[in-house]
Amino acid sequence: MMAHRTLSALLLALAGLAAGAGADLALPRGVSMAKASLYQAGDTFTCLDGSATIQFQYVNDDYCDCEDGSDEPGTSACAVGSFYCANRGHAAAEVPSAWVNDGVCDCCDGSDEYASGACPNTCDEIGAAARARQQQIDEMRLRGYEVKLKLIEEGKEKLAEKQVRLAELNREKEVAEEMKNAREAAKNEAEAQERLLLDAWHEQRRQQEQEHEEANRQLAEETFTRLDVNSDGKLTTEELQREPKLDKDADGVVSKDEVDSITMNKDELEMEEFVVSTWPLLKPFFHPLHVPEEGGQPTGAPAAAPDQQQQEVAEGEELTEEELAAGEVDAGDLVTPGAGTVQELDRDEVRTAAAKQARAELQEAEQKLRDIEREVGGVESFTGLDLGPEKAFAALYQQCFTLENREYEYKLCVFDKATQKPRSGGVETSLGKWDSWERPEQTGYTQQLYNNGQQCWNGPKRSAHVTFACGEETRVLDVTEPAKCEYKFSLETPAVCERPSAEGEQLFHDEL
Amino acid sequence: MLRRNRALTPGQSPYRVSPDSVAVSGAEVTARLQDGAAAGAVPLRLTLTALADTTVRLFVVEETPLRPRYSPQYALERPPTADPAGFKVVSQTAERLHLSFGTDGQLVLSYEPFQLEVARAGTTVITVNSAGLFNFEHYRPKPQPKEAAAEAEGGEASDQEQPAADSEQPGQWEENFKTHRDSKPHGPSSVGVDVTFPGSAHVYGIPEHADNFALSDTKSGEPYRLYNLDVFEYEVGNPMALYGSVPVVLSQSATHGAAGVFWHNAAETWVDVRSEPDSGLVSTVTSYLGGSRAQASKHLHWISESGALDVFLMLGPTAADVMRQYKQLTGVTQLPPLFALGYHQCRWNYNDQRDVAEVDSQLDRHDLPFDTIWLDIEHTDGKRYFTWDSHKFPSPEEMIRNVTSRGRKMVTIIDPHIKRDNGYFVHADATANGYYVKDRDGNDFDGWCWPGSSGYLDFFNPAVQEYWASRFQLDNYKGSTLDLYTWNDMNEPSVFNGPEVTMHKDAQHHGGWEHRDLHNEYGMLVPMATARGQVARSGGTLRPFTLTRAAFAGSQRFGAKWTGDNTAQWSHLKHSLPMLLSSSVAGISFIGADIGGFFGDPDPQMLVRWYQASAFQPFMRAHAHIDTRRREPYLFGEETTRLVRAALRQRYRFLPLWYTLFYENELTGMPPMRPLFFSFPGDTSVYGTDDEYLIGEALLVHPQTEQDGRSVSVYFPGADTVWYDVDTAERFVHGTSTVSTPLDKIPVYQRSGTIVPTKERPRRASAHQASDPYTLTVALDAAWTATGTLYTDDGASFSYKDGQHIYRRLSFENNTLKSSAISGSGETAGWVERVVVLGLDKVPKSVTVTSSGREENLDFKYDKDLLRLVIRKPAVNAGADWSIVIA
Repeated sequence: MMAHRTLSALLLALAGLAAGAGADLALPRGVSMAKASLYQAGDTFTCLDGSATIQFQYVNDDYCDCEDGSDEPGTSACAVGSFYCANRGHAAAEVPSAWVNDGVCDCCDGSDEYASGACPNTCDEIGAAARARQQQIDEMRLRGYEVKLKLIEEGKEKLAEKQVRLAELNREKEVAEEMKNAREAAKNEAEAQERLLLDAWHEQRRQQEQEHEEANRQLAEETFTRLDVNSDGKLTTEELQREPKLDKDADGVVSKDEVDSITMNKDELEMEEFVVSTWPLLKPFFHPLHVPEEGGQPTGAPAAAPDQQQQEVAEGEELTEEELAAGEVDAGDLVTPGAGTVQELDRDEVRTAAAKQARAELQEAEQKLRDIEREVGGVESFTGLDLGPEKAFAALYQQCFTLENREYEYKLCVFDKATQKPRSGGVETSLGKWDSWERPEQTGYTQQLYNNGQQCWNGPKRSAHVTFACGEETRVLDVTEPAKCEYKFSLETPAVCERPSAEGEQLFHDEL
Repeated sequence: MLRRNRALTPGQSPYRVSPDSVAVSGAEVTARLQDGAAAGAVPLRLTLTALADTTVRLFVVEETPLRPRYSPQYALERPPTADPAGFKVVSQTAERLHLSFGTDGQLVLSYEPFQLEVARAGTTVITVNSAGLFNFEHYRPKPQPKEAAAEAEGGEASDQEQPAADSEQPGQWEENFKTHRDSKPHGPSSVGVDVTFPGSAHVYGIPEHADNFALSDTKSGEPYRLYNLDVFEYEVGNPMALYGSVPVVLSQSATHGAAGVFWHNAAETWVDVRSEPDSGLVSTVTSYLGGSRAQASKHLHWISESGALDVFLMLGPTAADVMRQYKQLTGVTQLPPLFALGYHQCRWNYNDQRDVAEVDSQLDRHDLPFDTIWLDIEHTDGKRYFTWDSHKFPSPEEMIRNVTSRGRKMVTIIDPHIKRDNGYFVHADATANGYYVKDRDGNDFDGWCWPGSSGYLDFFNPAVQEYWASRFQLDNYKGSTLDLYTWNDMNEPSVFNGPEVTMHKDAQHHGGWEHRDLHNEYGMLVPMATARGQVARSGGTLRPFTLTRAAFAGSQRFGAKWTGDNTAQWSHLKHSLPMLLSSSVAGISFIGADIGGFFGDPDPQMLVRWYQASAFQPFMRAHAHIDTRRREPYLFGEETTRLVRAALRQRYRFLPLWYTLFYENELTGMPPMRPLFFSFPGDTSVYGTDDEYLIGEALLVHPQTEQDGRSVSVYFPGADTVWYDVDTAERFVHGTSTVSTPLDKIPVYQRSGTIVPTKERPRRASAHQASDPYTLTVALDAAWTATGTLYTDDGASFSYKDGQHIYRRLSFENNTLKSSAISGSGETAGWVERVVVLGLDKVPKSVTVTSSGREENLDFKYDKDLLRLVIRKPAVNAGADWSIVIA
C-alpha cells in the first residue's frame, strides 16, 4: 500500500509538471520526467553512477561515455541503459537502448525509431484497446476474486469438517486400539489352551508315522528275503523275473523290461538299496492300496498315484506355528503318510472353538483400526498440505478438470495427479503425481509440479508443470508438451485472483 | 575391393607406360599404360593435363572400356582450365618424359615402372605410384556360372594369398552384407594408387571423420573411409565414415611447403595414411627433380570401388595457394546472406505456431540475440515435405511474418526422401515422370525413412533438379515466404532399412549409372537444387541459404554444412574443433557443430562452453533431439542466461569480421576458420594443433572444452608477435601461457599487426546492426604498423557481385590510420564511432581525423598500463576515404 501511495503521489506531481510547464522543459530524448532534474542543461553532465563527468554536449551525441550508459538515454550508443518512451495515450515504457533505431517499432508512440520515422504513433488506438481489455480483465478479476472469497469459505468449511472428522477419528482410534489389545490378549489365552491339544496331536501323529515306517521296512526286508531265492543277499533280475506279480502287462511272462522298470536297470540289488529305492516302486504290486470297490479297474494297475501325491505334499511342507495359528492350512494338507492305514483326527477338530473365535474377533478389531488409520492418513494429507495463501486451494483439493484436444483427453486432479487418455479409447497414462508447489515465493503459489508419471520410451518419467492464472471458474485452458514427456498444463482459477487495487490503477490509467 | 587393394605390398609396380604411345600436345600428355606382369592385360589410357595455377591432372581409364567409367558430374565447378602455355618438353628418352609447365612446375613421367613426380621451383612435392600400389581392376566379362560355383568356397585367406592378379575372387560379382545383397552386375572395378608428399609429416583433410585434425597413421587400424552415411550416435577418435566425404588432402611441410591432392571420385573410397621412415614403405622413386630424397614423407593410398582414376595434384607452395588451386577446381562458398552468420535457434521440434511464438518472445525477453528459428520434420503433414501440419501450423505465413517482423528469418527442413502416398503431389509427380532412383530390377527404389515407405528423387536427372527447384516457388510451396530458408537433411541418402542405413549400391540412376559409382555425390545435389530454387523464387535477386548434412567436393558452393548428429559429451565438444578445421581445409568452410550436442542432455556448464566455442566458429546453431529436455538458453536460470547472452553478443560483435572473411573466402578460397599453420607455416610445433585455431589472420581462439576446466594452455605463435585479449587488452607474447577460464571467459586474442572491425551495440538480430557504427581495433606490431579489411553490403542480395558493396583496406603506418577502397561502389549508413589502438607505448598529444576536406581534432583516452588509446567518435562513413593521424 505504501508503494502504491508513493507512486500515485509522484505521478500526480509529474502530471502537474507536465501540465504546468511542459512546453518549457527541453528534456534530452529518452529521458523520463522522473529523471528530468538529472539532465539539467549546463556545461557538464555527470554520469548517474558518478563514474565520469563529460561535456553536456556529449549527452545523446551517439557515443557512449558513461559506463552506466546514462549519457545516451536517447540513442543506442551504450550497451547498457534504457530509452524512455512516454507513449501518451497508453502506458509509458522503458526499452533497452539497443532497441533504439533498430528498425523495430517498440514504443507505440514511435519515438524509439526517430531516425527513420517509420513507426507511426498508435498509442491512442492501442491505449484505448488496452484500457478496454484492462477493464475487462479488472472486471473478470473482481468477479474471480469474489468467487475466490467463496472458495476460501468453502475451503475453510471443508477443512473444518475434516478437522472435526479428524478429532472423531482419533477418538474412534483410541477405542479401536483398546478393543484390539483386549482381543489380542483373549486370543493369546485361547491359543495357549489350544497349543496343549495341538502338541499332543502332533506327538501322536509322529508316533504313528514311526510305527508305519518300521512296519514298511519290515515288509520290505521280508519280501527281499523271499525273493532272494539263492539267499546270496543279492536280488538279481532273474530272481525278480520269477515273481509273477510283476507281470504288468499280464502276458504270462515277467519280461526283463518289466523288471528293469522297477530296478532302474540294475542287474543286482543289495538289501539296503532295495529297501530305499526299489521297494517304494515294488510295493504296489504286492499291496494294492485302492482296490476298486466295484472292480471297475484292472487289478494289475497300481493305483498309487493319488496317495503318492498326497504323501509328497505332506512331506514337502513342514507346517509352521504361524500357519497353524492362523488356520491358513486346510484339512486336505494334513493327510498323513500311508493314508488309509492310519485313522486320523482332522486338525481343525483339534482346534478349539474358543481359539477360533478369538482369532476372528482380533482380525475384526485390527481391520477396524486399519480403516480408521487409513482415513486419518487421508485427512491429514489434506490438512497438512500447503494450500496457498488463505488456503484458497483447499476447495480444489482432489477436484478434477479436463481438456480435450484433437488426440487426447487431459485431466488434472488438483493435489493428486495429471493424466492423458487417447480420445480414440485406450488406457490412461499418468503424466505425474502431485509433488509440490514450484517456487511459491517467487510465483505467488501459481505453479505446481506433478512428477514421477509413467516412464517414457527412450526418455524420462513423465512430468507436468501446472500454471494457474486468474479466471472466474477453474478450467484447463491448454495442455502442451514442449519437450517429450514434459507437459505444461495452463489453468485458470479464481483461487489465484488478487483483490483488484482499484484506486491506484484507476489513477494511473487516467493520468497517462 | 578394399581387401584386394590393401593386400597389395609396396614394391616395384608392374604397370608400364609404352614409350612409343607417349604423345605431348599442348597442355596434354597421353600414353598407354599396361600391367606388364599380366598376360593379355587390358591397355589403359593415361592422360596428364597441365592446368592453370600450377595444378596437374592425372586421368586413367581403359582404352576401350566394356562399360564407361563414372566421373563426378558436379564436383568441378566448370571444366578445369588448361594452362594456356601448356607443357614444354625438357627431355624425352626411352625411359622417361621430362616436362615443364606454368611458372616453375616440372613433371617427370617414368615408364617402367609407371611413376609420376611433380616439382615446383626445383622441389619435388608429390610423387605418384612411388610405392607401386597403382591398381586398376578393368571391367571384364562375367565368368561362367560353373567357375562361380567353384570359387564360392574361397575365403579371406585365399584372397590374400592371391592378391589383385586373381580376378576370380569371391565377392567380386555378388556380395552380402547382413541381410542385404549387392548384385554387382558389373564385377570388380576398383582403382587405387599411392600418392606421396616428400618431406611432409603432416596431412589434413578428407572429412568427415570425428578424429584429430592431422591425419593419423592407419597402419595399425582401419583406413579412413569416405562413404556418406547416416551414423547413429557416432564415436569420436575414429576413422569411420560419417555424413560427408570430401576426398581432398592438404600437406604442410616446413621444407617442402604446402601441396594438395584431390581424388576426383564419388564411389566408396578408402585412404590409408603412412609415414616414412616409419611406414616401411620402400619408395622406389628416383628423384629426377628437386635434389635429395626427403627424410620424412607421407604416403596416402587411395582406393575407390569404381569410377575413373582421376587425381588433381595441387602444387602450392603455401596453404593459401592450395586453397586457391582447389577453389579453381570445385568452387567456393558464396557469400552467405548476413543472417546466416548469426545465431540459429533449432530443435527437433518446435511443436506448433504457439511454441514458435513463445520461443521467439522468450529469447527477446531474455535479451538473447538470434537470427532464425528452425522447424524440423514434425512441422510437415506426415513427413510430406513442402507441406504443413494443418493443426499445429494452420497459418504458417502469419507465423513467419511474426518472426520476421523483428528482423529474423525461418528455416524449414526439406529432405530428399518422398512419402510413397498417391495423394502426395510430389510422389504423384515423381511416379508419373520417372523421377525416382530405380532398384536393380528397374522398379522405383523403395526404402524406409521418416515417412515410412519412401521414394528417393534422382537428382542426377536434370529434370528432377528443375522440378525440385520449382517446388520452392512461393506459389508451389504453400505457406512459404521469401524469408523462409531450407535445411536438407538425410541426404547421404539415409535409408533406414538399407545396407549401413543407405541406398543399395546396385540401385540405378539417371544416365545408366549405378549408385555405387556416385554415392558420395548424391547428397550434394539436394542443396544444389534447393539453392537454385531459392534464387529462382526471388527472381534471381536474393542469396540462398541451405544447410546440408551430406557433402562431397564442391558442396561448399551451395551453402552451409553441419557435422551431423553429435552427442552432449565433452569429448564431442572437443572434437568439434578438429572436425571443423578438417572441413575448412577441404573447402567446406561454412561449417558448424550442433551446440549442446544433438543426442543427450547437456548440463548448463557444457551448454555454456558449447555456446562459447560455437560463437567463434563459422556456422552457429543450437539443435537437440526430440527425446532430450528443452534447452533454450533461458531455461537454466539467470546465471546461465547471462553467460550465453555474453557468448551470443561476442558472436554479433564480431559479425563484421566474419562477414568480411566470408567475402574474402569467396575471392580466395581461404576459409574463415583456419589452422595455425596457415599463418605460421614456419613453426612446425603448430602442425598438429587442433585445440586452438585462427579466425582469418587476426583472431586466435582457444575454447575451453574440458569439464570444470579452470584454465587452458594457450600457445601464442609468432616470434615477434603480441596477442591482445579481446576482452581485457591484456598482452601475451610468443610461447605458452596458462590462461584462467572462469565460466564467463572465452580465450580469444587479436594478433599484433591486424585491424579488426566490430559492432558493439548489442542488437537483437544481425538485421538491426545494418546502420550501426563500427569500432576498429588496431593492434600495432613492433614496427607500429597494422592492416585489415572491411567488407559490407546490403546483406541479402546479389548486387554485391555488381559492385554494390564496400570493400576497404585499413592500414596503420607512420602514425596514420587510413581507409582506402579495394573495390565496390556501394553505400552504407555504417560509420566509425571508435578507434582502439593497442600497443601504443607513447602518450599521444593529439588525434586528428581528415575526411573529404574536413579536418577535426578528436577526443581520446589513453591508458598507459594497457598501452591502449581509445579515439572518440571519428564519425567518418565506413565507405569513405579518411585518415586519422596520431601525434
